[in-house]
Amino acid sequence: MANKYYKDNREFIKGLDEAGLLVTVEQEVDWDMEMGAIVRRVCEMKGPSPYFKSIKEYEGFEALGAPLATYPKLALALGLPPDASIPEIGRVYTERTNGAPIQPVVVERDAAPCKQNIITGDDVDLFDLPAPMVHDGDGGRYLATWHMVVSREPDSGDVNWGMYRQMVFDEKTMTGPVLPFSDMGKMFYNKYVPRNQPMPFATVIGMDPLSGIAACAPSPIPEDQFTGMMMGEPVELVKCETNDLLVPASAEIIIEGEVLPGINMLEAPFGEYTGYRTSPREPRAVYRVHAITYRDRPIVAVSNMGIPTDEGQLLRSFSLGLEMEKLLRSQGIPITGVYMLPESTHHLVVVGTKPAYSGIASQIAQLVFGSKLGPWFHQVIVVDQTVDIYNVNEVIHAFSTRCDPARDIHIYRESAGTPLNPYASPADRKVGRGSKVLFDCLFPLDWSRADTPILVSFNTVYPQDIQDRVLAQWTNYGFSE
Amino acid sequence: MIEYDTFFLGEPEAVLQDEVTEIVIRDLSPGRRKYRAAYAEVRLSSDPDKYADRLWPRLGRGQWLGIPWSVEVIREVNKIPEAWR
Repeated sequence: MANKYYKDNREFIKGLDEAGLLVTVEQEVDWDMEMGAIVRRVCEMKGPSPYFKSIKEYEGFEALGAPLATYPKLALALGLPPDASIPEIGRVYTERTNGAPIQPVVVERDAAPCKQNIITGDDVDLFDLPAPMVHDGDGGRYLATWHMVVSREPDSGDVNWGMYRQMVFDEKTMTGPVLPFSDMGKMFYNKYVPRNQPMPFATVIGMDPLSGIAACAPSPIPEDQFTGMMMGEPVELVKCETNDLLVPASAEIIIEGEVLPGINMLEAPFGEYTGYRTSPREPRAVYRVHAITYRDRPIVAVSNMGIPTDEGQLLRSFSLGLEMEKLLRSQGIPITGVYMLPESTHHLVVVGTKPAYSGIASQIAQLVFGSKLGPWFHQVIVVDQTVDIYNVNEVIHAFSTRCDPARDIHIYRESAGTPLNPYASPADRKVGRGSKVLFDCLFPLDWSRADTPILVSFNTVYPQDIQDRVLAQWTNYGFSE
Repeated sequence: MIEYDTFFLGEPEAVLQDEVTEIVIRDLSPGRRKYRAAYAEVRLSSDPDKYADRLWPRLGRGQWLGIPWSVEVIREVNKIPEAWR
C-alpha cells in the first residue's frame, strides 16, 4: 500500500503552504545573489521555504528555496505531521527502507510532465535557465544545488542518483567535482575513463522530495528503488531524449548530456556544506549538455550551502546516521541509537550503547569509520544509555565529564577524508586524506560500582514516588507546564 | 569597455603580466549571460589603463581584491575536444 507522500515538487509546495512552512514571494527577485541571500538567511533562521514567483530576466520561471532544510519539512515529505520528533521521523524512514526494494515503472513521454518542453542540439543554452549566483565569490552560477545526477554503471547497469554540484561554465558546459570515492566517481574513474568513453548523465532539478532524500542517502539500494520503498509504490520514470537513462517523470527540469573523460576544466570556489569556501578553484569534471527538457512554468529548486542548516547538512546527517545504525545493528552491536548532528555539517555522530564489554566504543568507531560512509565524517562520540543522544546539552555534558583526554580520545591517522574538510591541511585536502577521532564517553567497566560516579539529575537521584509527586504538583507550585 | 573578473590561483604578484597567457575570464556584462566563463589567451596588467578592457581579480577562494587590472582578450580557447562538442 502506498504511503502518504508528495508525487511531485508542486504537490509538495502546496503541502508546505498548508503546513505554514512556505512564504510566497510575489515581488521580483534577482537571480544574481538576492535569491541566494534570501535562502541563506532562511537556512540560518530555520525558516519557511521561500517560493519565488518572479525572477529577474527569467519570465516564466519560478524557484523554491530551502525545500527540505528543517526537520518539520522532512517530516512533511515523509507524510508525517511537521511536529513529528526526530526519533519518530527516523523510525518511519528506517521502517520503510528496510523492506523489499520496489522497482520503478517507466511511463510514456506523453505522460511525463518533464517533457512539456524539449530543447536539443544547437538550441541548448544553459543561460536560458535561471541558475542563481548563490554566494558572492562563487566560481560561477550553480544550477544544481538541490538536484540529483543520474548515471549508470556501464557493465552491471546499476543506477546511481546522487547530488554532485554543477557550475554553469558556458552555454553547453557545466563543471563540478566528482570525488573518486563517491558512487558516481567509482563508475566514472574506474569504468568510463579507462575506456575513454563519455559517461551519460541526466541532472534532475525540482524532483519530488522523496527522490531528493533518496539521492542524499548512502544506502546500498539503488536510489530509484529506494524512493519506491519510501513511497510504498513505484516511482514513475521516463527515458531521456538523448540517452537511455531514466529520470523522474514529474521533475521540473532535466539536463541531459555526457561527462567527458580525459578533460578537466576549472570549477569553484563555492560556499560548501561545511559552512566554508574550502576547496579552491581547480580543474574538475566536465559535463557537456545535449538536451534540456522542462515542465511548463518550471520551478527551479535552490539550496544554499553555508553555516547550518541547509538540505545537505540535514538530510545527509539524517540518512548517514540511520545507515550507520543499520550497519551497527547488523553486526550485533548493542546500540541504543545513532544521531548525527546536522549542526556538525555531518561530521559528528553520537552513538548510544548499553556497554556490555570493554572496548565497545573502539569497535563502534572502527566499524563506522571503516564503512563506505567513513570518508564523509570524522568524529564519533560514544555515550551510554543514560544519555539522550538527540539532546545536545546531555551529549556535551557527557563528553565534558566522562571522556578522559589521555585515555578516551582515540585518533586514527591517514584515513580517507574529503577535499572539502576545512580543518585538513592544504596537502591533505588535495589528496582527500584526513584524521578521525573517537571520543569514548563510557565509564570503564572495570571500575567498581563504588568508584563509578553517579549522574545527578532529576531522573536519576530521586525515588520514583518523589518524581511523580513533584511532576503532579508542578503547576500547583506555581510553575507553568 | 567590457568588464571581466578572474580568479588568481596563486598570489597576484606571481601573475605573468604583458605576455600572452591563458586564463579563465568571466564576463560581468549585465543580463542573462553574466558570469559566462571562457578559457582565453590574454595579456593582462595591474595597470588599469594599459589594455582596453577591465579585469577584476579575485583570489582562489573568491576573495574580491577590489583593485582593477586591465586585459586584452586575444581569443577564446575551446577546451572541449572536437569529437565531443
